[in-house]
Amino acid sequence: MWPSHALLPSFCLAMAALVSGCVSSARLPASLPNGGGLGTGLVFGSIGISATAPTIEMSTLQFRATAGDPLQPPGEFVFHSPVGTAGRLLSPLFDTPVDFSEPDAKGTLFVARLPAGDYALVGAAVENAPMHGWAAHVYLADPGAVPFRVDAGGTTYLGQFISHLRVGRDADRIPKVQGAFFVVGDKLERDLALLKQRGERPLPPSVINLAPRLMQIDNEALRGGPP
Amino acid sequence: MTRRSVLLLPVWLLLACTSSHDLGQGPSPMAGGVYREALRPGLHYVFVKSNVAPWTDREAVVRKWRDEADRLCGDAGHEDLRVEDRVEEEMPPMNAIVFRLPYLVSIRKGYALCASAGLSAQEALRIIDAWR
Repeated sequence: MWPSHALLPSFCLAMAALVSGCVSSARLPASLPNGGGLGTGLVFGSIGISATAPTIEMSTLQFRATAGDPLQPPGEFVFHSPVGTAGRLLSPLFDTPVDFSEPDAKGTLFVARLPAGDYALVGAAVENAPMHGWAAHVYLADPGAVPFRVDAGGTTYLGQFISHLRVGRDADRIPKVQGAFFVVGDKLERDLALLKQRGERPLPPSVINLAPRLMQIDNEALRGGPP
Repeated sequence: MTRRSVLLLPVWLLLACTSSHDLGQGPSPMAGGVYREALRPGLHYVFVKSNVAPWTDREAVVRKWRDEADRLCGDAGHEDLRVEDRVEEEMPPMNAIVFRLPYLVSIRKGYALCASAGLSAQEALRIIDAWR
């Protein structure tokens, strides 16, 4: 995990958004498995920021098809939370509405229809924007390769992913952001209700819930319990 | 780069001072600010950092540190413990024509033991050592 100065990632994403339209809460990877008539399935979950980290502007989980080309850009689940004037200026470029706002977190629902096959969460990126949004540091974290499967006609729930900042102290004991991570939770009922509000009717009615399994993970990018 | 350095010089002249920004809330645009933390009632860690400038600004930092300690301890006064001063280069210097302009910050950090704390200096130092 390392910080990189800069508005550059935001700028590049903004430029990409200008070229290709708004950045939505779910962007498909450039390389997808060849469906070969196997059909598609639905993947959904929620992504957001902790109420204790109001300077987080962008929260991103990256995924790709296990059989996909690793050199191609991954897919992303994204939540953009504007910080200050700079964040509000960029916010029209993002289509990540606040679907839930609770005392400890807020965020958006992500939904992706993917060709049936095996996928993995492969990256996490959290952009912290101090100085009222005029600065930005992006913290990357490696979740390992967290596998999930998409079945044709099926629905897979990944869980709720809430980004947090990892705050330590520097040599002068000043609190300093040293990284970021996501806390995984199981909010299946709430997120199913949000999914239905989006007009999606999961078929068959049984949803494969991977959140309990993902909540067992404890690495630099994903944690199951409160920070 | 050269033209930008010349243009930035008046900005530096204006901003080469201390800032009341709370460094506990994150960095400030010009690097300066103050951080305070109470180890226990009446015993405070105070850290003051000047804004970046091509020169040192020790007097302003010392004044700011004293003002903070006075404010935290009130009229009863305070004893200053483990106070340290230093100057750092905040980032690599800027080369402007034949000049090398450093980005310097002046720092003062230390502990203010308020008279109202009910602690001796030795007791306070033990608490400080345990905290560090």
